[in-house]
Amino acid sequence: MRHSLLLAGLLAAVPAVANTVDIHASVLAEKRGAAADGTTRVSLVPAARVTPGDKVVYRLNYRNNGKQPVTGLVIANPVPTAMRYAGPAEGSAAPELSVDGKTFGPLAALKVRDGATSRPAVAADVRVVRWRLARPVAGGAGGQVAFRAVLN
Amino acid sequence: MYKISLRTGLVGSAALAASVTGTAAHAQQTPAGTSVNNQASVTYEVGGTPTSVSSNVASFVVDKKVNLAVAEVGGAPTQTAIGATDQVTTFTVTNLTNSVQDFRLDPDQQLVSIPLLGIDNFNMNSLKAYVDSNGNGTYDAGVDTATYIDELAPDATVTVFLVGNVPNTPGAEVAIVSLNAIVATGGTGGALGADLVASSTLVADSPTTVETVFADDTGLLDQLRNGQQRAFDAYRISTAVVTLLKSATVISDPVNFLLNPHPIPGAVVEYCMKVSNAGPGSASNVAVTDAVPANSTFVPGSIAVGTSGILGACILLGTSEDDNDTGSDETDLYGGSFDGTTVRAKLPSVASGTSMSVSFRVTVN
Repeated sequence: MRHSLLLAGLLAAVPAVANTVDIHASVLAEKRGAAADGTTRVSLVPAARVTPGDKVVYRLNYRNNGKQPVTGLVIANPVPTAMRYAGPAEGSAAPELSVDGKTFGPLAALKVRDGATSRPAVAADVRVVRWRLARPVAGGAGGQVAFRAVLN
Repeated sequence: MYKISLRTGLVGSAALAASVTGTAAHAQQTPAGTSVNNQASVTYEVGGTPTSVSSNVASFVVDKKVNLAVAEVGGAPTQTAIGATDQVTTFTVTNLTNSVQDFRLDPDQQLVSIPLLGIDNFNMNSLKAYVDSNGNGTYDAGVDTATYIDELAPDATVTVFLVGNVPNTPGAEVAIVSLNAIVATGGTGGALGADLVASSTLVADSPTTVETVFADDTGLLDQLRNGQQRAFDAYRISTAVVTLLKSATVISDPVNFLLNPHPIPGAVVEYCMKVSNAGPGSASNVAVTDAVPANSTFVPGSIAVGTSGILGACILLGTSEDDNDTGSDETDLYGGSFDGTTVRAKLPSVASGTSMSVSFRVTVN
């Protein structure tokens, strides 16, 4: 009896802990339009009519739903198979990049192993993007990061 | 909303680098209907306890990007002849759509005149389009019988022939034809699907269904983004019917001089050879040779070559030729020479429906 009570308590506790930070992914498309001052304005709209060669923006919103600050927050996003990484989105911090899911760094520091030799990585080689937040996220706070990708 | 800034430009150049290196990947367009899913994860510590959470899956379905290329093969009109049958012009059709498609083929006679191909002045009879079924690039009558392209894979190219008969029409020279390829629904082998229709741009995209987006370019007699492409070629009749008419006129005699002269010994006689081209093709490098008749003596320096004259004159506009076969007089508009027995003349070109003449004089022995 006590055992089962304890178990029930654990089961209830696990989702409560897991939901302290929520992350929501969305996929958006850039829409260009003329602004009143003659410049081009780019707005983000839900991705529509995505065909090969089109660029989309993946936006990741995170929020700390708890009362305590969370530390060491790391957001990792494997680039979908059919997509090529094409840089950070406007307003987002630049992510760390990886071509193998293990070594992360700026693009210039990455190498792709090609048999016995290796070559410098290009944006199309990126398979995982990652953001490490240096500061703790206070309770109730959140933010967003985003990156661009092109459909092959 | 945000303004384009320098940073966007930098990001743009990064994207450019990606697309440059991705040229090989261009050959593998993501197939329409592919579901592209994105899921992020977040790890963090709260109160020293490491935790990991996955996001929802953000996904969309890749839509159908319809594009095609039609190209003429060879870059020159097909040379043909009056009355010839099964005359072929060759094209290629490439499926640039990210899915398997059928293609409807529409062979067209053109009334337009395309400078590179010529001035269209006749139509081919029973012009049809056939697919190169065995891929040998040559039309095989009875073998290449398919009139539409069935189930063409993405980035695959197939050869298409326009085959027709040349009518027996006097004056016919150039027939300009075109192949119009229309993207049709694929998926059912052995049958031509219906023409594709682009999804309305007025209806919002559904991230879960495959919409059809026309992405083909504009072209001559072809509209932008209509799911069709057209290329042109021509048939050119290259035969020319050339006839030669020779006549003699007495110019003067030693008794009557220029007034009603008679061909008596010592009289000067002018021979005129008229080269007529009934077409339809232009005759080039026409060589005229004529032996000086017996009992007459060639008058040195009497050769003239040029456009035919009227009212009894042999030549209207021409050049005088000296007797040797070298020098600038051979390479001005026309050439002519006399080697002691035979008069020779060169006409670089006799256009269809026109005539040129060569004249020389002899004295009667």
